[in-house]
This record gives sequence, structure tokens and C-alpha cells, in this order.
Amino acid sequence: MTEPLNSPVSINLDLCDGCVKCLNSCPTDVFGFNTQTQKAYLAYPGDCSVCFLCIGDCPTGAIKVDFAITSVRKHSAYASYDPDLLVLDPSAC
Amino acid sequence: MDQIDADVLIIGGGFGGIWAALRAAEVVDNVVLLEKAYVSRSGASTISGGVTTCPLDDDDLSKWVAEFVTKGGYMCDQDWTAQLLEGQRERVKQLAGWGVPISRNDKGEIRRFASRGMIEVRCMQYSPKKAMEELRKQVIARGVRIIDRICVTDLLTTDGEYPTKGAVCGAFGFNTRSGECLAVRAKQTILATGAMSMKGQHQIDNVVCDGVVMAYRAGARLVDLEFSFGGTFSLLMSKYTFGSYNVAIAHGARLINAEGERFMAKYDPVRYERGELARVVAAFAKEMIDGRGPVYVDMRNVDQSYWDDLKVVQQSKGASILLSDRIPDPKVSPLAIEPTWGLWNGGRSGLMIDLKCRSSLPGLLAAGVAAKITATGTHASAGVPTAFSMTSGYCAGNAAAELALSMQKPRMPDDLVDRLAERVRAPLGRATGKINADRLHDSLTKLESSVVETMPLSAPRLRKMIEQTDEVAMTADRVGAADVHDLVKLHEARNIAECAKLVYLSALDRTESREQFYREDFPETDDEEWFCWHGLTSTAGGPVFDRQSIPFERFPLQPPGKRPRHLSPIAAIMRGSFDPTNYD
Repeated sequence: MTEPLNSPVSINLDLCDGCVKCLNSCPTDVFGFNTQTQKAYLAYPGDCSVCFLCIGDCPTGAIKVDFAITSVRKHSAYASYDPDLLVLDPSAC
Repeated sequence: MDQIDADVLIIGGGFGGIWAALRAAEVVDNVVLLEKAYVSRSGASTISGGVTTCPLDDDDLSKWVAEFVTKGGYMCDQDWTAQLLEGQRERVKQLAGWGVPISRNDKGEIRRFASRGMIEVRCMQYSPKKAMEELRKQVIARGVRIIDRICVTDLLTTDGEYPTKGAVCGAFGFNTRSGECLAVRAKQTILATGAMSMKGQHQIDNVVCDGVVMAYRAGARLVDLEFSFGGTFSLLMSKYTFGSYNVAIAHGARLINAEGERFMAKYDPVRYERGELARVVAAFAKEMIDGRGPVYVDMRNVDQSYWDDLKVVQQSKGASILLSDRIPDPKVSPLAIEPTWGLWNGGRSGLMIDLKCRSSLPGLLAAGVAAKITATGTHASAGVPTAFSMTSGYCAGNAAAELALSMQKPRMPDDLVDRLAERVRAPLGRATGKINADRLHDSLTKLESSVVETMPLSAPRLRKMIEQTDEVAMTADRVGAADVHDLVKLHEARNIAECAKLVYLSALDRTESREQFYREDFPETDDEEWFCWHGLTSTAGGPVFDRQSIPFERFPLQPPGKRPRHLSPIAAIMRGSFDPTNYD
């Protein structure tokens, strides 16, 4: 079972072995430990800042972090641009 | 409430803090290091691009010093420049000796590349995460007591006053999970809390402005806060983290506009994308304003060693968008890229420190980019923030330990710790509502926008920004925290609001433009008034500014003389009149 939530980070609980390495990895304390299930859970998923530190530390590959930053706090000069314009045709230059 | 004593207390466990701890523990027994997250998984040191200045034994460092001083507009402490480079030569040897992975050529030599904006100065690439893991092991082996997950909120002062007329004697904070308070009384305290930043901008959301603000409240003198605006080309296709721009351009990546033109040829026909970063960012903004955007990073000619190193970094770090299948192949298609621009001091501002890393307050030293890197002046260097963090850490640890050796345990008012605990935990007792810490951080980041809007400053805009920071700070003093995690974020929001206000006040006070600092209403560089370090100190009567002359009588390199007022490089770029022959 995966906890999707509205956040870049998710945990596949079938793979999580409860080692709690992610609790040390995360600078912003996204992860908690559920003593009943003996597995990690997303305590504060909204605080994921897409740093990927947990990905390298999770020994079972249970954690996924999406590449896309969807935070309203990030400002893009291309917010109103057609997405097709964000890739340049290599034959054009 | 837990209360402990230390000879040397270090706040922050990135490069600055760890190197301070390593050195201090060689001199005194009782060294305590407090870290808001977990040492080796926190701070810019851990998730940086892994670029640092790399002087080796055969290099003539006098040439490097000269390059830093000229590129830094002569606004450097040249003694610090020399100390930085000599110290970094030792730090590189130590990292290599511990087996930290460093990018090497076929002969096994460190692979070096020209630092951005430079001809002589060389950088190297290393694995930052592995470096931090090794450093954690080293400090533990030396008997340093690391206490992770402590959010430090205040410095302790011997008279219990803020600003103090006495000395700093430790720090107060709380555990970010249990909420339990901790006071560390210390003979000497080293502030190593990293950059000034806002959440949501740099993928290091626990690094904000905590340390600089608590030092300011205690009465430490800050300098050049208006130079806290900064950023780099970090956002790919409007929503992905690019990785290290410095490394990519060193290996041949180029910036081109929508017409396929390598536009940096107009601004820096020698260094192109490797030119002074603020000028490259301004050139980006100019291309956008003139309708030649998007700007693309063209990686079709990047050499193979870049991609090889990227694979190594990816294995250590977890992932890289450039090697993923989420985007078109960057080896084939130029992809839209853009810089951030906002509160990101990178060592261009912060606590003023001397060669021993002592602040203006007795008992308080600073290391890393919470301090102003006077070694490099106005130059925003690739590699120097990490190098300075390591060497200032070492120097601060050494000086603090030497001072502590001859000191008794400091005294402070009996009620100080209880007073702080009551104030710090007060939001937990207040009702929570729609306005919470998260919304305050949202409001703060609205002070910033895309670089096109945020780079030009003016008095009306700065006054409005100051009003907005006041509003956030006042709200933060009223709202409740739902739990301890929320309490951390609430203190962070309060600190960012206060820090941003100080930055904007400093920007308002500086009536000129200079290198990366650009005021539309004062577009010229004014050496008569502003060729100095711009100090800011908290007093009972409010913030007080000062201007400190740069002591050239001490230094080997003399400036060519004050130039008459002239358009700053960014002002000239924005007005379309930039002539590269007029600027270094």
C-alpha cells in the first residue's frame, strides 16, 4: 500500500522495514514512526523540500520523491509560458 | 528542562560547525554541537553541488589572492583572503586523506576546473554527502557531544539583556520532536547556522535565518546585509531542480536565448556563462524583458567527464533530473532554465568577524556563511562558501578553545532560562486557526518573485516589503502552534521576517548600486559614499548603521583609486548600455 497524499513524497509500506533511517535523513522531519505498524509514515508530508536525501538512505527503496517541485513558494518566470516552449528544437540552432 | 555546561558550544552542524568542533575538541575536553536536524543530513553543505576551491601545494596563492581581491572590487579583508586559501589547502588534504570521494582524472590526480568568474582560481568536485558522513564520524571519534534535533532560539547573555552589555554565554533551544527545552551554558559559543534563506527556494528548508537573527538580537554587529540578495540558475523547465550550474558550465554547458544566440557574448566575451554570477542573472532578466526568452541551457557539447561525475553524485545523493526519463534528453535538446533571486546571502553578508572569527560580542564567534566572507568582497564565488565554511570553522574552533582554556564558567541571571522557555513555548498554549506557520511562510515567499521582478529594488518597493515583514512578524507573535513541529516553523517564520526586514532596511540605507546590488532609483556606483563595509547593530534605540573604512594600510594590494560615479554593471545591463570593456 502506498500513501500518496498531496505531496512529492510517498512511502510504499509493503517495502518499508521500519529501520527509521529516513527519520534521521530528513532535514525537515517529514517522517514519523508508527509504533503499532512498526513502519515509517508521512508525519508532515507538506514539508518535503525535494532534497532526495531520504532516497539514498532508504535501504529497501520504499520511498519515492517526485522530481517536480509543485510548491506555491517557488516562483518561475515561465509560469505563463506554453510548456512546449520549454524545450528548444535542437535543429533550430 | 535540561541544563548542561560546555567549554565550547557550536550551533549548527554543517561544514562550519563540524570543522569548528573538530578543532576545538583537540584543545578542550567539553565540546557540544547542537544541530536542528541531524549532523550529516542537514544544511547547504550536505546537498550542495559539491564544489569547493582547490588550492594545491604547487599553486602560487598570491595570484589567487590578487584575483579574489580584484574580482571582489577590493572590498576584501586581504588577510582573510590569504588565510582562507592557505587553510583550504589543508582542508582539501584532510578530506582526501579520509577517503572522501573527489573527482579525479585518469592519472588519479584531482580534476580541477576554473572557478566561475575566474582565470587563476581552481575548484574541485567532491561528494558532499560522503564528506558530511565522514566528518560526523570524525567529530564523534574526537569526543564531541552531538545533540541532534535541537532548534536553538536564543543566545544566553551574562546580563540577560538583549542587546547585551555583557557577553554571550551559551544558547537556549528545544528538541524539535519532544519539545523539551535545553540550555547550554558555555564559555565560548560559535554560531555556524548557515545561510539566510526562505523556505521553498533552495531545497534546504530548515536553513533559514535563525542564527543571524539571534546574534543580532544579542547585539552582534552584522555587515553588508543588502548584499544578501542572490541566487543561481537552479530551476529547469519551471519545476525541476537543475543541480550545480557551476559544475555544468565548467564542463561546457552554455546559455542560449530563444533565437539560439549565446547572449553572454554581449556581456562577457571572455568568460561567457562563467562571468560574475549577478551579471549573468541580470543578462537573463534582460533577455526575458526584451522578449528573447525562454533562456535554455544547451548541454550538447558538455564533456563526458561531467556525465560520469553526475552518475556518481546521483548514486550518493539519490537522484538527478538530468539522468531521469522525466525530461527530454539534455544531451540532445536545450531545456529552459532560470535563476532564483532572493534572500540567499551565501556569505556576502552576515556577522562581521575578525581573523580569529570573533564577532563584535565577547563570547560569540561565527563560522560559515552566517558570517560575512570578507575574504572575497563583492565577488560571488563558486567554491568559496564551502571553503570558507571549512576554514572559518577550523579557525573559530581554535580561537574559541584557546579563549575557553583561561576562563571560568560564565554566570547569568537565575531566571533567564525560565524566561526564555516561557516565551519560546508560548505559541503551544495559544489557539490555532487558519493563519498558521505555513501560511506565514507562504506570505514571506511572496516578498520574492521571479528574478525579472525581484532584481530591481527601489525605495517605494523596499518600504512596502518592510511593511509586509512587520505584518508577518506581528502575526507570528499572535498565532498558536498546533504541535512542536509547528512551533519550529513558527520561530523560523518570525526569524525570516525579522532578518528580511534588516536586509530591506540595509538596502534602503544604501543609496547606490554596486555589482550585484541594484537599485533602480540609485543606478550608479558611488565610491565616495559607499566604498566601505556597511554595519548594522541592534541598540536600545533601534537598529544603527555604520560605515567602516577598509583598512588598506594593512594590505598588500591597493585599489586603483576611487572611480567617479558610474552606472553599476547590472544597471548598465538593464538599460542596454553595458560595454564589457568598462567593467572588470
